[in-house]
Amino acid sequence: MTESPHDEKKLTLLVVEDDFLIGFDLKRTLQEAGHRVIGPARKVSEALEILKTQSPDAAILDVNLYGERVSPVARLLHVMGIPFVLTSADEDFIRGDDALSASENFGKPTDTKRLLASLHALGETGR
Amino acid sequence: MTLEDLYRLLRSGHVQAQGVLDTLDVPLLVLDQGMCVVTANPAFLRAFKTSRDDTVGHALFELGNGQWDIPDLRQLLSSVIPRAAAIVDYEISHAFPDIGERTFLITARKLAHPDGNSQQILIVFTDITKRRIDSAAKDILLNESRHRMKNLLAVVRALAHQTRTEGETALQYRKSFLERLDCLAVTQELAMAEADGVDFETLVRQTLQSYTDRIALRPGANPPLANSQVQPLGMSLNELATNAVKYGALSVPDGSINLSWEVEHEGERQVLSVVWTEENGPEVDQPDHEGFGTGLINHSVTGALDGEVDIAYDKSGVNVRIRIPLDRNLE
Repeated sequence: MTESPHDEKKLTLLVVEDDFLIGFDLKRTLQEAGHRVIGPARKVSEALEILKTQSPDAAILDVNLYGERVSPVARLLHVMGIPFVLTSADEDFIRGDDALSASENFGKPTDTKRLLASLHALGETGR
Repeated sequence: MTLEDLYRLLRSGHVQAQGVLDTLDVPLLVLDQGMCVVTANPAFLRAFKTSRDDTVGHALFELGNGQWDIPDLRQLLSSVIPRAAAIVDYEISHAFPDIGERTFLITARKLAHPDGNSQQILIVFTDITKRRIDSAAKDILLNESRHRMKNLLAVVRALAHQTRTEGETALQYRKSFLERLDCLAVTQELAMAEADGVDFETLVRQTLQSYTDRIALRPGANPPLANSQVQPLGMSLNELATNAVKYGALSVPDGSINLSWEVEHEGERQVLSVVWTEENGPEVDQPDHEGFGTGLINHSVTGALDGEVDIAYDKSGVNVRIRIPLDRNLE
């Protein structure tokens, strides 16, 4: 069954990304697809602060944030039952990290088409 | 003298052999069939901080409280003797009590004695610890630069993706994209070049260099910027100029821009206050949607720079006030 874009479930998404241009593009791309964006949070502390008061449908995480790993955010998302995907240039970084290694990585530069399709699927299953 | 000559000398039991061993820089041992040290050259004694008395005449695996009793080495030597094979560059890493963690390439070779009965083993140790550390450091550096390259490509992709296409010709698109790419390159260079960070005036002059005849600078105090501030601030200035050329004061011959800045003190905090004032341009109206330029400026200043921005579309021209805290450093 095919659905028109208007039937897709719109999601509230937390974006965690330290580069301002990549964050800007990601935010606008997600917004153009109709999603609501929280962030971009640029630091682990900023993302953790946001998750104190907000509960997004899903999160998109860069892994290396000014040299700090996003892992504490990933662990909190696990606990909260919020699915997340990664956008990292560094596969080695992810492989060695239990909090991250099970998650899908859309890489850098990020394949946004694939990312949006994956988010769409997430909306269909209703998390 | 080649190692081959040395083996021949040792085989012939020539008296010269001892002298040769002594002068060689590479640590060497000669063992008898029972793995007892027959000869240790000075390079060996130096490398492992031991003495001739503590070494010669002792079993290899008992030397220095058994520090040589390394399973890999035992295995290696026990396979050399029966097969009469030479083993070349076998790598062994081991933590020695006196000299620490070392990595050696071991070359071992059976020496046939002239009397035909006794068999000895010559072992040559090449310390590659430093080489290994250097190559690990190089791997980290390579990985880091690969990571950076991917990131930079992602940034370029973001610029290409966000540069407006609606109602633009391919030529206009290319011009807008390349201007942003150039600004990215300039600010990237500035952010990386200076260890202590670049100052604001340099950033202004570098990012606005193609507009300097139309923009009057009114410099105040010239604060140093954190590296993380350079790109968002530089790109924002570039977008202000780009918008002025397209819609604002720089779109007409008589228009001009004043750019002034000052460092203000708010208690403990220092705030860079930048004012961009367009004059004698066309009458401007608030645009009905946020374009790339204003979007990027808002995103950069409130997001990446933790500051505030106010863009006023006055009848006399666009008036932009940017305030960013200076006492923060993410890196």
